[in-house]
Amino acid sequence: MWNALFIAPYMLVFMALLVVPLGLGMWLSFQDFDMLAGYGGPVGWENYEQLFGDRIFLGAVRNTIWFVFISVPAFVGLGLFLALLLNDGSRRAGFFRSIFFGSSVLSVTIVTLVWRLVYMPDRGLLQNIAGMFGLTAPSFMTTEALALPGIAIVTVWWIIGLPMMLFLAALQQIPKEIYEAAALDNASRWRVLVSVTVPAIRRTIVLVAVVEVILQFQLFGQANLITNGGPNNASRPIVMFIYEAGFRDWMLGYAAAASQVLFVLMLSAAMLQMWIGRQRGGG
Amino acid sequence: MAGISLRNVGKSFGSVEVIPDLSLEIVSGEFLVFLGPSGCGKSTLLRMIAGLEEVSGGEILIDGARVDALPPGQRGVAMVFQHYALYPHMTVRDNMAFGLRNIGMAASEIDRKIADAARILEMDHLLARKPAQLSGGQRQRVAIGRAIVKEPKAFLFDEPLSNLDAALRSRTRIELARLHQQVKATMIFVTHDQVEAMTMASRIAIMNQGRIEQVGTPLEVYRRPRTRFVASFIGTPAMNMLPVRLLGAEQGGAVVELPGGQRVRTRVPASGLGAGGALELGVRAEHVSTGGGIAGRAEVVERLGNRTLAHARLADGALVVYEDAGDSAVAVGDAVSLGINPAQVHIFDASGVGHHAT
Repeated sequence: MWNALFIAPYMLVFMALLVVPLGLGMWLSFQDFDMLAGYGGPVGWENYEQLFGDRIFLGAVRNTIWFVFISVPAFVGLGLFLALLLNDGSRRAGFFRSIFFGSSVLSVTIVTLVWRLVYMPDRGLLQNIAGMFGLTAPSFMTTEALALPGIAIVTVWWIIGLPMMLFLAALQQIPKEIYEAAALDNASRWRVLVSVTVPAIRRTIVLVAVVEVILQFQLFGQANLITNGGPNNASRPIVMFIYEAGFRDWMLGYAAAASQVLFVLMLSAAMLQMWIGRQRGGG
Repeated sequence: MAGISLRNVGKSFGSVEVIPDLSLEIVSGEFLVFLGPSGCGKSTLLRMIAGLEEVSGGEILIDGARVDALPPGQRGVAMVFQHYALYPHMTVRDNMAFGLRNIGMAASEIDRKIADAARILEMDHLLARKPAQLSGGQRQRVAIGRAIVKEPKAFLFDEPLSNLDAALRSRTRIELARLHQQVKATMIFVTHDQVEAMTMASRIAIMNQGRIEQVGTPLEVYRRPRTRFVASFIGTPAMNMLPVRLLGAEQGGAVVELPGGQRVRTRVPASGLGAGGALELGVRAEHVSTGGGIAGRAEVVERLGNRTLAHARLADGALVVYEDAGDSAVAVGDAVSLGINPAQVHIFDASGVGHHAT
């Protein structure tokens, strides 16, 4: 009984900062709570009904899912690719690891500022390079179909370091002898990758995918600073919608309901991935 | 089945020379054991034959064809690793089939080979399991099975028994010896355990600091160690080594004086020993017996059941191990008098070369 005291500090913080706000958010989503008009009492599912009729919200859900869909495979694929390239003890590898991880420490403000200079129509780096070949660079910031991919490129460039490091750590756990056995077994490089390396780091692949799904569903800063949700709402993610509903329009109940939708989306995506990971592992 | 030739093979890691210059002919079908202490280069040598380490110099030939530039898979050898190196996510069957599939062998042929290997190693019931579901001994079998199905020209074993417990190790030794008779392939086995070497080898190559000290059958290296290193490395307990002075010769045999002043008339020819250099007399515990002119006091008595090993301190401070009967009455602190069998001694000269009784 007294043993419970040992986990009490953690439990208190966990309750105060996670469980209570979660419950409060759920409660709030069933209230009419407008900071300008005041508290209007419980309204049942009205906030949700309104949300699913809101064209901008539905667009934001679509945008967010699309963003997750293009960025997470890039994090897994590119992260693994970089880790495989840099998985040796050489100085060169150490140097490039630092370079690729280095960008992760930059704040979103710096990163978006840099990339705005790259993407800028007419005068940006991309246009300058394309111009040397007499071409016109695609305008990521002003083309509806390219806005989210553009933000995905920025995001991958920014925080590819963590997936790469997780993959590197996993690769270094694989005993060298297994690769030697594979060499004696006449396995080609591709065969070694598919039959030895990838199965050995399967857990890390699932981990990276789940972590990135959870992170990328919360896209906000980059979209807010690069395109401000445009053009024509083409890059407005759910978190930005929540922010605007809550802190620009002061409709807290409405924003809380949108948050619950995001929560359910993230939860189901993560669960689905873990379930898939478990299926292939066979236990 | 094939012979393997190592010709002036050398290996350096950076500026560190691990194997200076080594030549050895391994006869087709023999069970050759590389034996030596940790860091003597025996594993490196095996890995060079396998192609897992590049050679810094010299040539390696398998079956008369030069292989030292070929990748490991194309040398026609199979290796059993110290930690087995099974593919953890594959079943036993897939572990064995992996190498065969990679060379495009037909599925029916693969099945037949796996069935044969499983029968030889009595592991049919394990084929559907994964390595994590196997005991250490079973993993060992799978690793051997993975080598057998390839029908290699030579089997390479890198200390494969060191992770097994004592009982399993001695059983696996016997199985490996039986396997060697069954498949009649060339086998090269690396170990630091002299019992493994003595029990399984057709020939033992004893290595020290990257050089081969002696190559010979187990009894040759035991009875006629070419160097002091071999003499002290082979045999348990280690051979007694006593510093001696050469007095002269009687009937061609060297007469030496122990530090305590006792004289030993040996049957080692005195002619090759040179004059006046520092010599050492080597004699195994079983060739020292009670009832002689050398006085000492028993310090440690090890009772092994069938025999007793007693460690006696001589007057001059040297420690001599001798063998006595299993029911010997000797006790710690007893005064003992010892004699050395002159027909079974070895004399090592200043350069460590052994001279043996004729």
